[in-house]
Amino acid sequence: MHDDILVTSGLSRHFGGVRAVNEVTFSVPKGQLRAIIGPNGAGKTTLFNLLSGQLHSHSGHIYFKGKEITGRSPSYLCRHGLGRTFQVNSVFLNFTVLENVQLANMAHQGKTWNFWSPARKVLVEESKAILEMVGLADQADKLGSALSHGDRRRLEIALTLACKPELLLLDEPTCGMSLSEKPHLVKLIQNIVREKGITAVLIEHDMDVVFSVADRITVMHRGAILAEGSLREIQANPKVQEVYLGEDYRAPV
Amino acid sequence: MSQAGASRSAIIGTIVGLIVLILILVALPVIAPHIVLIDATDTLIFVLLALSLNLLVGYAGMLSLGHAAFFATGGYCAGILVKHLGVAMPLAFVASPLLAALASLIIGFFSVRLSHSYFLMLSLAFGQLLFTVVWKWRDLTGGDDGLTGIMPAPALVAPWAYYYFTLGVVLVCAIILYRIGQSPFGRALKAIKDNPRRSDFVGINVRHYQLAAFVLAGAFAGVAGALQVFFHRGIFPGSAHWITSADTFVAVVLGGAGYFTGPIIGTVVFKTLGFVIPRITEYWLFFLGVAIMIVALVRPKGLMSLWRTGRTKNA
Repeated sequence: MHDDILVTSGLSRHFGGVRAVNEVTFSVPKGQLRAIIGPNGAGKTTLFNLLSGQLHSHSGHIYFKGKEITGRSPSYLCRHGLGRTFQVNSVFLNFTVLENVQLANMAHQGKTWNFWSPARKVLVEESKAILEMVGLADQADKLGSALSHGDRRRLEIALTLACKPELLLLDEPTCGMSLSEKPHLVKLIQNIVREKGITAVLIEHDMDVVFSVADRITVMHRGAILAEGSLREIQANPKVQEVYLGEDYRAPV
Repeated sequence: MSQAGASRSAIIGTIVGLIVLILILVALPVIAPHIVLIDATDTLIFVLLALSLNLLVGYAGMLSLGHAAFFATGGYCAGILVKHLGVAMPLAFVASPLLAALASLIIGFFSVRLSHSYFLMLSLAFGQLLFTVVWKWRDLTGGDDGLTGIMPAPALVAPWAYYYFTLGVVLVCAIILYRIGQSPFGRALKAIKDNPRRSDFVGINVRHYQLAAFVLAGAFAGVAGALQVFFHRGIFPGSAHWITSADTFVAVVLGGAGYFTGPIIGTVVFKTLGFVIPRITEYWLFFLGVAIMIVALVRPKGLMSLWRTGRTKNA
């Protein structure tokens, strides 16, 4: 319990009569790369919205680093080490790539309350280092709106990294990426998580991605947790096969 | 490489242009007739008002139609202190932006929010509320007779002296506003305009920053109000009316809200048209309207985009 960076208990959220997230109790140990899978409408993104403070829960509790964070605002959580990326790209389109990361860096370090020094000179090296890490260093001067879809996904991750997260919520990071781009991004995520000792929770539809990066898998179905376990356990679980995986992913021999 | 060269020559061009402009402004009392000096002082005051509004419109993307409230708060604050309490001009002048900031903190607390249309309506409503108070509270404000006989300090009574005083104050305020725009705080405002949800998720508490911008803009509008009351030796409820807010808004958009210099150009053009056309025809508002429509149709990003287009496209 002490090693769990994220814990929820009885977390629920409904929209009208639909129980989007229903009594979800789960925990993620520090340093793990957890994947959350489940069919469309299973409540994965709603769960993320609750965890990251974008939505208020109707009941239940969320604990982060041992402290209750239920009902905290996104900006508070971000400043305290909980970062997230979005399923649909959400970067600053009228900022250059460097300015995007600079802003996130400044905000995280509380420097956005500086009214006087020129912003273009603030935290340039730190921001360039992050661009280097995600492979966008050569595009630092491009506007966010001029980036390809795949590069925006990278920038999305860079923005989150600038907030020095201890827990990273990645909402379908490879969504909409071409088949050739996907493996690079997956490797990037893996490297970052391992090198920096970040805990990551990943929503993903691409099973190849899930099976290649995740330490452990949680399966959601109709707002609730259906199963949780190692890759093998999930592959072998008949309930999971029934709702989700289909014939293709039966455990190999 | 050539792009860096181009931007360097652009910077040199801007600096040379600024020096020439400042020289002309400094020489104006010598080279221009009295009436032009009066118009110039008036224009400078509205340049400051437009620049302060642009912190909201251009940087933070907050469309306020109640900015005149803080202009009037500053003006009435100085006027009432001088007239009713016999306070000396310098002290009254300093009190104006402080009271305007307090007013914008209170009004901002209730009206600053994410939705553009609600903020617009609330700023308009609070502005009109203040206008009504000014209109009705005769004992304090003089009602529709206004507050008159507000004299500046003896050294500033001559039109040329007051012109230099205004020029100095507006220049200092413009430099401060420019620095704020370029600062990390200014970046945060631009980020909120660009993508409020993402701003939240990089750790920016959007509402706090919007409120801070609102208070800052209100304080500078208060300075403009104080300049105005000693310039006209009085103040009238019209300064608090939403038409004043709308005029300022038009000047900002006319020049180009996306540029720091946009509100300056916009105000100069707006005021010049306002000075020149009425001397030719009594239907000057019609021609002003036509001019604004042409700009809106041909140059939706404002007059400033005329010579900045090339550069923004390169960026």
